[in-house]
Amino acid sequence: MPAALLLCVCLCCDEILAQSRDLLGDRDVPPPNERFHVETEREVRVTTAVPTALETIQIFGVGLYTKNIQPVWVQIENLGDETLWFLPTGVDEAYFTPIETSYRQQNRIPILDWALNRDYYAMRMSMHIEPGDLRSGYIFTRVDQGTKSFNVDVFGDEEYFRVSFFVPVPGLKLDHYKVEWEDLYTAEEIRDVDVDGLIADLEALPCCVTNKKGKKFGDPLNLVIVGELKDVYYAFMRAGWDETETIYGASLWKTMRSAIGGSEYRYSPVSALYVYGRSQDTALQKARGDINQRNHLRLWMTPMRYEGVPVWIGQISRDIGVRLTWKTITTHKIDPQVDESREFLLEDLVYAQSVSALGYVAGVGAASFDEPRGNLTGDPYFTDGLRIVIFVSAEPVAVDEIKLIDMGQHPLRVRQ
Amino acid sequence: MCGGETKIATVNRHDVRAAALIGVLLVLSACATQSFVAAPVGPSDFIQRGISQTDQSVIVTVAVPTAEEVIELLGVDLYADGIQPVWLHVENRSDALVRVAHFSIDNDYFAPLEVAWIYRKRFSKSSRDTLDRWFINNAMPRHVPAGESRTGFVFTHATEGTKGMNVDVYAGTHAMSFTFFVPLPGFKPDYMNVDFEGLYSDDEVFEGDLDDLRNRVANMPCCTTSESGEESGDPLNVVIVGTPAAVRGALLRGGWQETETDSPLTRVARMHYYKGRSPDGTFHKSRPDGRERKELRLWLAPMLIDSETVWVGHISYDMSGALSNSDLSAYQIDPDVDDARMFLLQNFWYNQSLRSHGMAAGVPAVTVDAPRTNFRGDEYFTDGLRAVLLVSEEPVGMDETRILLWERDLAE
Repeated sequence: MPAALLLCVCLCCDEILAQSRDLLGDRDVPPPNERFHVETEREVRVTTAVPTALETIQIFGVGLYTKNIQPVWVQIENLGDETLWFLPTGVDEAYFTPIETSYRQQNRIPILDWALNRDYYAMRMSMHIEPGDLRSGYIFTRVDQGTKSFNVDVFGDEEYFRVSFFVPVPGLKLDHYKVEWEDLYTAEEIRDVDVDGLIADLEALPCCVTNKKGKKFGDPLNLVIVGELKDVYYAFMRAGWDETETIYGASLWKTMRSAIGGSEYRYSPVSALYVYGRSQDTALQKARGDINQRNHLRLWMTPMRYEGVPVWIGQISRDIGVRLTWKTITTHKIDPQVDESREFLLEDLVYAQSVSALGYVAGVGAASFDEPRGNLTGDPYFTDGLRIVIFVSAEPVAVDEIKLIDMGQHPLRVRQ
Repeated sequence: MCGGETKIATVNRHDVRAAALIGVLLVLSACATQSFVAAPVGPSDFIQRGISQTDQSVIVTVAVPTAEEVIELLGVDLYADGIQPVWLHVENRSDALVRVAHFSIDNDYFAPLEVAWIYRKRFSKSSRDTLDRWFINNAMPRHVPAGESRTGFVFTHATEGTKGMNVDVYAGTHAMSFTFFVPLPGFKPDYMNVDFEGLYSDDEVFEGDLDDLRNRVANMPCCTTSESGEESGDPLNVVIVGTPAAVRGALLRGGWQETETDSPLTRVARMHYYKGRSPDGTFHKSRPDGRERKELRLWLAPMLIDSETVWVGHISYDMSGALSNSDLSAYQIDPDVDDARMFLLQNFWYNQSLRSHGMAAGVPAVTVDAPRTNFRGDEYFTDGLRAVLLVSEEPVGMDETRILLWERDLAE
């Protein structure tokens, strides 16, 4: 099947490339697929579409994804009466230039193929959109699989239009797509709580995750998120967190290769930890320099509803190195100072303008540097014993608009 | 070797690297015996170089140790691993708790124990606790209670030259933002070697206002030249207007790295001449995931616009990245120089440095199909426009930037 498919792809791509050549001088670049996402913000209508790895081969004749390049198709319609500027930095601050994309495709041989350069250049998105005009083209970004989240920033003279997109890209088996959110709890199990009830219920939750049998305690549950599923998800996407793949053969292999060879694999699976007798409802990670430096978090939906909004309990840790263990072959050494990871997450979400309010509750139980507790893979950790409670917002919240809620605890009041 | 005590007391980085290698070998033979001994922070020279700023009742002081000073302090070379500690002192004279946002200093800072973890295997098992404790106790705390002070390090990604950073401090919901540019001794950026006062005589300097700027810019020479002045170089596609402090601030906020006059990184830049001299300042900005970099070459122009300095320059993208550091023939400019020009425009815009901008003519346009070749043989094409960027010392919200409706993007 793959051979037949490839053959078809190569036959098709000549035709598509020929079509795109015909478009030279034209202002409109056709979309890669029909999975359009359309948003309108006052006088600006924006349509986007993200090609999969396979569609990219069909359009450009080559596999850009393998070079970590993901084209994003953007179409902007200027419905107003002043010239607008589109700034691709909002889509990806480290976007690739069209000719760089071509250059990387040619394995960085300094003798440039001008015909190829021209093809990529002709498909680029314009930065100017005149009144009444409609422009479309590609921005060449770094690859995001699972969900591509980006902003389309458009400016007029002292005017600003921002449209955010969250575009699913087929090809990744993501853990949270498996969870049947509606079926997690029955109507009788759902509990509506006020602030006092929220504090009491959160402080009564177990200190930590457990193993599958529920017999051994692991990492501390130091994170509480209050928000609708969609808003929680967008909040993390905006701050640059990635989804994780469920553990299956191929992705474990990719993780191994990345841990040993240092090449980046941003969607590597995480091991299952348990709360409420079930493994995490969703796990997210934020990649850093290499796979050994990343932040991980896991979330479980609780039966609590605060003002009708779901409450989530979770765990966050920062990987600082790799240790070999017998249980999972390679496991990541976590930063024992788990409170530092918790505060990092707060700032990360605050600067993504996703936090509307915050507070602290007890429930983890303090552990000191001298008498640390251990997680399931034997990593020690110490903590002031608090859980941070973060209320996320669908609308951007400026940092000076965040509400501080006194929930009876604060890191400063706990002697570390 | 195995039983001996290895002590690092020297300032020489090469010795330390050699010692680090020995450290690795010792680990392999499972007998790291070196003890971790940190020097006291207080009397260090770098703290004397601290810079303070005050906002109402909060005083923030920052200082940055050099690579050598870090080795003196800790016996390990953090800079070699891309880590640059920033020392902070926050004095809270208000009557409310304040919080320092480490994220504002570097949004991908290294956690204290993450840094300790990198070096732990070089030290004997018995001193690893001491190592961890040093990093915990010397990390900058996030909270500073009313009437108190806190001191400590935030571990940032290392940058060359002057360290530019923001420090955001919150008192409840009130936000205070401090911007610092901390010079590092031992590094002298190229523009510090230029005698700007002596470049032009008074009657050479044109003084005018914004109305004059567009024509003046359009009538500047199209391009840099070779040293002899006879051959044409790269298009002068950028003009920056602002006080010297505003221009420098915009570049540092945008993450542009300064370079030294004789740096091998700027060999190509120094082949290009304007007014008979190579660039007054050359700045680089690398991709976050690679070493390909934008290169900005700036010259002070003989012009004052509303009493502010005018800098003319060229920006392009070296797609070969670090390859051209050692092998000049590997240097590969992205011929689409307009893309690099627009990158700078956006970089200033997103970093809230841009007061207003316009596009002016001045370079003959050439298309992608018929690129022009400079004296080095580098090809480029352009719509012929120059980005004119007026920068501000104070932050400008992105929706406050004015757009001067001069030339449109004609090639489109």
